[in-house]
Amino acid sequence: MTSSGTIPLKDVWKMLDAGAHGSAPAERIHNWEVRYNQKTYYRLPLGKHGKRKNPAIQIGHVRNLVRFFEIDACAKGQLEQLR
Amino acid sequence: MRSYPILFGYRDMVAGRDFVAFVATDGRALCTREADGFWLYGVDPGSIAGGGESVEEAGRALKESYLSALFDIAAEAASFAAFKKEVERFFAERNGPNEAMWEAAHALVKSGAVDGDAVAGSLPRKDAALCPRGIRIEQVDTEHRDASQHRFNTFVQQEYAEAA
Repeated sequence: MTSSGTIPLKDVWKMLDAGAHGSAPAERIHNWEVRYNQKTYYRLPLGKHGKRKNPAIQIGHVRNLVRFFEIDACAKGQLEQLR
Repeated sequence: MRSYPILFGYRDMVAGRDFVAFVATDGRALCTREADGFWLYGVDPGSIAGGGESVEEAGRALKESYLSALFDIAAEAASFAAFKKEVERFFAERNGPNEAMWEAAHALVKSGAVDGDAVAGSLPRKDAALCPRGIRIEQVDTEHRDASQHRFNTFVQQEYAEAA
C-alpha cells in the first residue's frame, strides 16, 4: 500500500472541530474512539507505529469516518485530500 | 470508482475482564478501488475500514480493524453484559452513505453488469437474500473449559463473499 494517501491526525481533529462541532475523541488501547451526534466511531487508528503525537492516518479511514458522521461537505472544504 | 458489495462472516473469541465471549458477526462492506489501492468500508458495522494493495490485503486490514474495535470495547467493559451491549451498538450503527453505495453496487451485480470483472472473480458469490445480517454474542463457559467450545466459520470457505 502506498504511503501517499495519508492525512496528519491534527488535520483530522481540525476538520472534526469544523464539521462535527462537539465531537469527543477518546484514546483507547488500539484506536481513537470518536463520539458525535449520538453515534460512536470506534476505529480511527492511533497510527501506523502506535501512539504518536501527530501520526499520518490513511485517507480511507478518514473517508469512512466522514461518511459515518455524514459531514462530507464540510470535510471536503477542510481537507483537500478528500476532494 | 467502481465499487463491489461484499458480505463477510467473522467468528472469534474475545477476552475481557473476567469473561470470555464468542462473537459471530455477519456484516456488509463496500469494496472500492481507490487511488492508493483497494479499500473495504464497513456498512454494518459502519465504523470500520481496511485498505491494501489487493482485495485480500484489504480484507485482512478490515478484519484487523474489526478485531481492534472489539478489543478496545472488551478492555473498557466492566462485565460481559456491558461488553455485549456495547458490541451490539457497534454493529447496529450503520454507515448510511456506504449502505447507499452498497445497494447500488449490488443492483449492478444482480443485473450482470460486472460479470468477468477481476474483483468479482476473486471472491465466491453468495445470494445476499440468503445471508441474514446480524451479530451474536455469547458468554463462553470458562468453568468447563474444553475443546467443544471451538467454532468453525461456516459462513463460506473464506471470510468474504461478493453479494449476488
